[in-house]
Amino acid sequence: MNIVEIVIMGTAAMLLLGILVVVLVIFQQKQVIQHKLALRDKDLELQRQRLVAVLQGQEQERKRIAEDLHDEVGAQLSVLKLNLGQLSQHLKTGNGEAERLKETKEFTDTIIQHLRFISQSLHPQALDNLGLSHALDSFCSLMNKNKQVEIAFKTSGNGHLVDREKALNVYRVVQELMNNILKHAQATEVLITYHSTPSLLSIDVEDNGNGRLLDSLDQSRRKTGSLGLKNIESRLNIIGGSINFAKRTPTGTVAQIRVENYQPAIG
Amino acid sequence: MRIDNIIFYIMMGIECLLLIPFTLDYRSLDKSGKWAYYYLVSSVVYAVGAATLARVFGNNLWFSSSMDLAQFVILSVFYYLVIKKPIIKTLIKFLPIPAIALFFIDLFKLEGISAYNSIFATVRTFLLLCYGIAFFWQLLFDEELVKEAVFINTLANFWFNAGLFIYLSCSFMDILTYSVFLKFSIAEATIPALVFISGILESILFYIGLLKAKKQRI
Repeated sequence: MNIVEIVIMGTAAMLLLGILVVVLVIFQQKQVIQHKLALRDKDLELQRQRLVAVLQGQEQERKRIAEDLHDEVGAQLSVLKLNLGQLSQHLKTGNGEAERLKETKEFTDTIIQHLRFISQSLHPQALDNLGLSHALDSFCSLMNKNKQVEIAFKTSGNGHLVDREKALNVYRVVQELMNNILKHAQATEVLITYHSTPSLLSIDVEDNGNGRLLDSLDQSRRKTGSLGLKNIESRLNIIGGSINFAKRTPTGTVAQIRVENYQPAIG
Repeated sequence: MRIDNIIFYIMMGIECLLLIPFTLDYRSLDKSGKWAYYYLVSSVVYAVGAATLARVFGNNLWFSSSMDLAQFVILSVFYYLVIKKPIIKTLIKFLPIPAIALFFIDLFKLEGISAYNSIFATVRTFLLLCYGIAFFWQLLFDEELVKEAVFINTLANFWFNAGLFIYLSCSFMDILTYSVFLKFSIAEATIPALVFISGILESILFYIGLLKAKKQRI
């Protein structure tokens, strides 16, 4: 092999090497990106699992506190109310003690009502016993007792069962929305519409307020680090649901919650 | 006409044609893309000038050496703009100074004005290949690209670098041995033919780069 042939082969080899390097660079970078994307997906899944665990832990703790309040403190207050009732029968003197006792009884009643409200907010018992639709209905009734806003609940569902975890998350989302409406929307009326088909669960929360519900959610997140909107999004994300905010005519906001495949898995 | 001459004219024609879309889409090129365009212009000047001078005077080697230097400066600016690592940027910034010194030493002292300046051309090609590898390396491990899941084949500068790398890799052996071949009057057609083929490949890759630059702008 003479020098010319060596140079020819060297040149051809360099040309092929150059092409090979370019091709390898492209493939290598594609692999790096795919690997990183896979890692990111795993990381997101891990984060999701952690979030689910945190929320589940939170719910369990809320349930425990709610049960303690209802069963222990609630029962004790009921006994107190009963005792006060019996005491009023035995009271004979007329120095205003009877009125004072009546006031104390009424005050006990108020405490019991508040306790029920707190217990219900912490863990909606109706959700376990009667399902999401009834739990939301009872939540509205409870809110009506305590707030100045008139909350109406309308259902056109035909009793499709909702998976327990999904139901709890949707309930919390509605609760969070209501809190924000009460705080920021300056609404006087709220309408919650519940509708379910075999594949889609729809809940619309309409208010007649200033139409700044979404802005206020977003602003409060930026200003105070409040997790309202983030909580709503996280919870819906976990159950594969979505939320959409729209302007309501003439005033207010409509929050539309949608959850697909919401029924409990069979088997 | 020899095969290498035919391929040379094809390459020159493609380069001239490529100038049209590049000139028309000059605005869609970013700063580094504009230097790739200047390199393309210099390649056309190189090819046309070398062919004309060879016909008129018989010797175009001083012109080849000068164009090698001009292209080295242009490509140094291109790589200076695309490479991010400060230490390599500094190297690219200051290496043209000794390279220019070597050019003059080679031109006037070592090989002479009427000979092909293999020493300077080899060093220049080697340096440019190193810059090209450094840029490939940067693209491979660019965190920003990975984070944004941007594939490098969507980047105009990748294609410009790929074209340059293939052409410089192929011409390296030719440049290294050209002055020896001239000295011993070895008229070999295959080597220049291969180099001109890589030049055609370079032009095609530059065109792909231009298309990507237009897409990036949109």
